[in-house]
Amino acid sequence: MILYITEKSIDLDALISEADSSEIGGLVIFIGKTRNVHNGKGVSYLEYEVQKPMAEKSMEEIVVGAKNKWNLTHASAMHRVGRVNIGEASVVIITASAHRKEAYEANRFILDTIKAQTPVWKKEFYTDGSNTWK
Amino acid sequence: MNVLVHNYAALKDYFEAQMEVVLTPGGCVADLVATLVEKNPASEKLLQICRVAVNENIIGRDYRLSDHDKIYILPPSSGG
Repeated sequence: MILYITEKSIDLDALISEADSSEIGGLVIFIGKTRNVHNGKGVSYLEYEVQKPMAEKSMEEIVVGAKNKWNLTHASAMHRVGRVNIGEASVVIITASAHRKEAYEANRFILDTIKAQTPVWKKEFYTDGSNTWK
Repeated sequence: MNVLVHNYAALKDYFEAQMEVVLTPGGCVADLVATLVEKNPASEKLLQICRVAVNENIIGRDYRLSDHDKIYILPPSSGG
């Protein structure tokens, strides 16, 4: 089974290796990272909560739908859950196709749709000790 | 009838992560939401924009619930 949700650090090299082939002309990688500030407020780390069975189903539908729509050679998405420290990747989207245009468009679609639909939630923990759900 | 409700993310600021709720037999999702608002009126604004799933399928507010349904109340996604 394809892995969409992980509690461990995302292995970017492994994901790129899975995507690579001699058929592709363009490979697009998006890495969503945890930054140290939000609206001027210092961020210590993030925690992501998930409804895992529904999130995996949602991501599967989004990725497979994009792969078919843009006739991609490869499409994959992985979202990290649990604690994610500053500078670490929280989500990675990889798309590959014969031409770059399709890979770019599909990559953005996958990320935007996951952010809008997949049941994953982010909680920000700030340097002043407070926290909030986003 | 009794249903088991799973709350996520910001909803846990208002309710336990899991809770049993007693509803009138034949009650629908809208009735469940009204019951939750009654329990904690401060949750109303968030509950209005949540999606609701029964047995892991997203359903509408007029969906009729059954005894022992597992209900997942999902605030707007904020992944990425």
